Amino acid sequence: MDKIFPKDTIKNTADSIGITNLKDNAAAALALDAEYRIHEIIQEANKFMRHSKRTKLTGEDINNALRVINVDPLYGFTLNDNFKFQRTLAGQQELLFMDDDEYEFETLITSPMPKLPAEVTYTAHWLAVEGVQPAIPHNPPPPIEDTIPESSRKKAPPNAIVQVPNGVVTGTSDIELKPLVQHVISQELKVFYDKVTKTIKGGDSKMKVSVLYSLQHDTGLAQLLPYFVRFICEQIGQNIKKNTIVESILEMTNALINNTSLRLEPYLHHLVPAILTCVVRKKFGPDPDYHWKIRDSAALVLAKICDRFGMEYNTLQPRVIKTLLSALTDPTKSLSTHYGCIVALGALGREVIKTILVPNLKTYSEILEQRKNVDKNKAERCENAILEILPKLKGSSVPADSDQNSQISDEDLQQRLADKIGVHLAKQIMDKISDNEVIMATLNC
Amino acid sequence: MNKMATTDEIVRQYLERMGIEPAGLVIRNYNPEEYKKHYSSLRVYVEGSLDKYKGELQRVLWPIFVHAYLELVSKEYITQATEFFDTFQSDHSTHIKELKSLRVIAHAHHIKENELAQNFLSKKFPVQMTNTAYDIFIDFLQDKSFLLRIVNQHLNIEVGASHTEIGIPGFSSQELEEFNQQEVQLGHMPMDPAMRDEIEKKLNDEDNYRIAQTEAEYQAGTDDQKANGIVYQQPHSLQQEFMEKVKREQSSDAPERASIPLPSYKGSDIHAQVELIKDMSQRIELGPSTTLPSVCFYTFHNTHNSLNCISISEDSSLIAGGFSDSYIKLWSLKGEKLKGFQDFVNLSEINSASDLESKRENPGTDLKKLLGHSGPIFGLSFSPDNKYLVSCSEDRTVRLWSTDTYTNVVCYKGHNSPVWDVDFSPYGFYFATAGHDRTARLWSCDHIYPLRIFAGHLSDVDCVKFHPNSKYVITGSIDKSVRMWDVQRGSCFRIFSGHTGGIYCLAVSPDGRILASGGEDKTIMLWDLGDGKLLKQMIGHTDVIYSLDFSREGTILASGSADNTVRLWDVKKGISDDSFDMDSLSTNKVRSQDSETKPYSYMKSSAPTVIPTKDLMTTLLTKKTPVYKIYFTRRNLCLAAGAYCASTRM
Repeated sequence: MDKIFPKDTIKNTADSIGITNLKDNAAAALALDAEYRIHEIIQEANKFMRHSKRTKLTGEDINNALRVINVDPLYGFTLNDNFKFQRTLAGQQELLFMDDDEYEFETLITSPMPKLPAEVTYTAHWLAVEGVQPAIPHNPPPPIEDTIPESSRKKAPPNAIVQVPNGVVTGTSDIELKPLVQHVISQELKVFYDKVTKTIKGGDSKMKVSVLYSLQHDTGLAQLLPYFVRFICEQIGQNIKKNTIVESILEMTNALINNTSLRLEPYLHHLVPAILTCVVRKKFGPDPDYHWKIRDSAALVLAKICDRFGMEYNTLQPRVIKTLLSALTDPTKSLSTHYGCIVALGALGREVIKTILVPNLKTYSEILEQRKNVDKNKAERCENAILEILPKLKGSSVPADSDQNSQISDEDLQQRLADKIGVHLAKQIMDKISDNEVIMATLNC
Repeated sequence: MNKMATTDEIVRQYLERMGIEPAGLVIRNYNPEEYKKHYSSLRVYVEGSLDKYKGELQRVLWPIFVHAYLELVSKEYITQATEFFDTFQSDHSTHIKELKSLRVIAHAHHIKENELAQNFLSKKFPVQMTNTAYDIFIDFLQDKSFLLRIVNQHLNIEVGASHTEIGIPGFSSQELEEFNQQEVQLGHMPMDPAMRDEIEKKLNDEDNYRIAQTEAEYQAGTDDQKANGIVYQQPHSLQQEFMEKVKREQSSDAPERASIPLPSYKGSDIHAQVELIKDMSQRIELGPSTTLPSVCFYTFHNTHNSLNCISISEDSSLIAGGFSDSYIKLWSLKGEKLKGFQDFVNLSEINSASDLESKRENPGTDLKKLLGHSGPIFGLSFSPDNKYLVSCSEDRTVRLWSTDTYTNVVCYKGHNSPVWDVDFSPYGFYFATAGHDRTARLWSCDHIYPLRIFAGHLSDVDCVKFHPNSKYVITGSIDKSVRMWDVQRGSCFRIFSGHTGGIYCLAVSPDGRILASGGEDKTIMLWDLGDGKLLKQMIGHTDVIYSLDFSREGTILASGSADNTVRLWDVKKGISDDSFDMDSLSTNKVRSQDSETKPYSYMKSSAPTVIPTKDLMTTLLTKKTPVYKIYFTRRNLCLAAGAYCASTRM
């Protein structure tokens, strides 16, 4: 049997009542008995606690138990249930004692009477009406898991569904599938969502400004985020040929990215492909010139995404770059696609221009030269885009020998540039960029 | 096996110390009186042991009893043997068969022929015990060489064996099954024929009156109504209702009226029955497939943990609360003022009923405080005619209160320990109490001493409930068993064991066939009273269960628990359609083991996530209010009550 009472406790108690020479085996026997008695008292007190429908044992319970086993109750322990024992050292022994406050009798009888406790009262309410709990303040709000229908709470065992390569889902026939929506959106949020999507699809511009502001700054949109992401993806897919609202969608995406209270990370794999589509798609709607603008803004959004989440997902930016680069160096792709790639790579920052774009310009220069004969307008756009990007390199590298460079003749320079980025582009640069520094920076890449 | 070796070792050491040669183990010539003396000392010891170990210690009584008897017989102390047998056979009433067989052994040579005796002598009787119980037992045996010898020779104590067996010690499951086969009468008590006739007459009058009234209404109705096709409808006949629902043909297992004497009926009883029929005709049919009950919840505030029990009167007009501060409080649920009588009423002035009414308090009070007990109140029950309230208390008394005058009428003294629960008979006049003294008692209102004492539980009797036909009283105890007693004979007819904790509450279905029990182990068990078998377990509550009640058709069971929920259960599911799922059985196994290790775990944190059985229909959460009482009214409205527990800290 576990001994709760060491015989030292018995000896201490004996000491306190003046018995100093208690023998060891006597103390041990007494300890065993004391433990039994205490078990007995607790067992009885526990009964009183249970019948009082309490979960906390009180002094009164102990006293009732003592009465039941014909022992005098301990008076003075029932008023306050919050006893705090304190430790002290008596000689070598650690003792526990209770703080006993001293009261001045005078002050006690002159002090005002304490307030009467409130009378016991009852209130009635409907806990359920025909088995359904009404949503009234008397009832607690239903726990979240209870709002999910019973069937969906059971998860199908993980190995029950086998995804076969040809897309056929096999498994036992009685699998209960989880519904796609597992949480319920409040009415307010639903109204808000409707308002946002309506405005983005074609509201007045004033309204749009305030909606975008709200999307960028509101903190309580987390619940709606998956719906917004789905909306963005769907709208881009459906409207890219009409391209009227794609710009608004991009603005909306931009606003959501800027909202610091939202966690977009889980949805990036939906968002990035959609945005990339806007950047590199071959054909946009009927308006021949409108799409350049969309490519520009989509490139900016893409860059923003890479900027914000690139640190966290270090494969994100490389993957985006890889996609863009393979499109750029593919001569079969249209020039509008090339334009998008150039703009997007340019938007990704100086480092990308320096290490990715410029080294590939030589091959691209040839593509451009060939195409220029076919579609001069578009090729010029691409040229201009490159020329607009290159100045960003300015100041990146300190020319080691600026004096030497300045002495190089224009012809020499053009020759070196042609080696670097192709004859065609070199010529364009020499013609249109007068700033020597840009040329030097390009050369130094 | 290892344990076994040490057991023998210990016993041998003791024997050596006692000066008995362990090898020889010669039966010394004990005085035949010794047997009686030592056996009763063991009995007293087991009785007085802690509840926790009592069950285990109790198991040794039976084999020791048998061996003591056999030894007496073998030494030809026949008269002493018979005396010994007669004195103590009542301890082992569940071993009916073996007792009969032993009884016939009257000579030493009988022993050799008797199969049972040979069985006992040839094999060591296996007894399972936990380490602690074994320690205690050996401790007790230390200076009792007489008992030690029997234990050593004939008992095989398996220490630390896992206790898969739950239930009554000394009962094998087979014996229990046999015991529960005793015939019982569960049918409804037939109504007094004279009373039935009078009720029928009254109902007929009532029907005629209602028909006349509806006809008059119909006549008075405008032509529009008639044009709209409102057809004249015969009101539902109350008499028909009575025939269908109350006046049952005497079923074969109905008890005889004479077996439970009741005072002859009065005019008010007829009136009450007519009201009952009226209520019945307005009853909402409840069922798991039709309508679930509506639950009205009464929350008590500012109780500061002092409210112990709640009771609601049969006509749902009064609610009573028993407090730990020794008083009872009565509130009207109808919102009326309660009017007692003035302090001084000169009886000579009272000549008629109206005189008496004029002496009532005006305007009356919202609540009445009943003072009389000198200890916490633990149980309350209203009489079925709503005229009386009976209460029981820590002060060992039971008191009868009038709900007309709001005064104490009778004080019943008999229990010699606190009284835990009280229940009025469904026909009034009788009530039963259950107490700390391990007995339940039957009382009638007009006697101040108990009429029957039901003794047999191994520990406190915590709850008591009358069977709807008033012929039986059902008790639940902290010894984890439920027993059903015959009121007339005072003997036990059913023992249900299976719970892994004490029983806190009981309910019997209105048809008298199904018993529901719930308690400390958070499980509700349904028992078939007829064949004495477990029907099913209902798992779902996460804390102790305080109250149970069946809907008036008996199709829905409502339970109230300390986990702040009211739960509604489908009674039939899992019984009638044979789809008793194995899930629930396996989960229960896990649970029972869990509660074995932590028998008194009240802490929420230790509660494992419970997978409810499939018959749980609805869980209704309250706001931090443990549910003390569940009650279905005659119209099938579910009333629930509890005390709001503001502080969440333990």
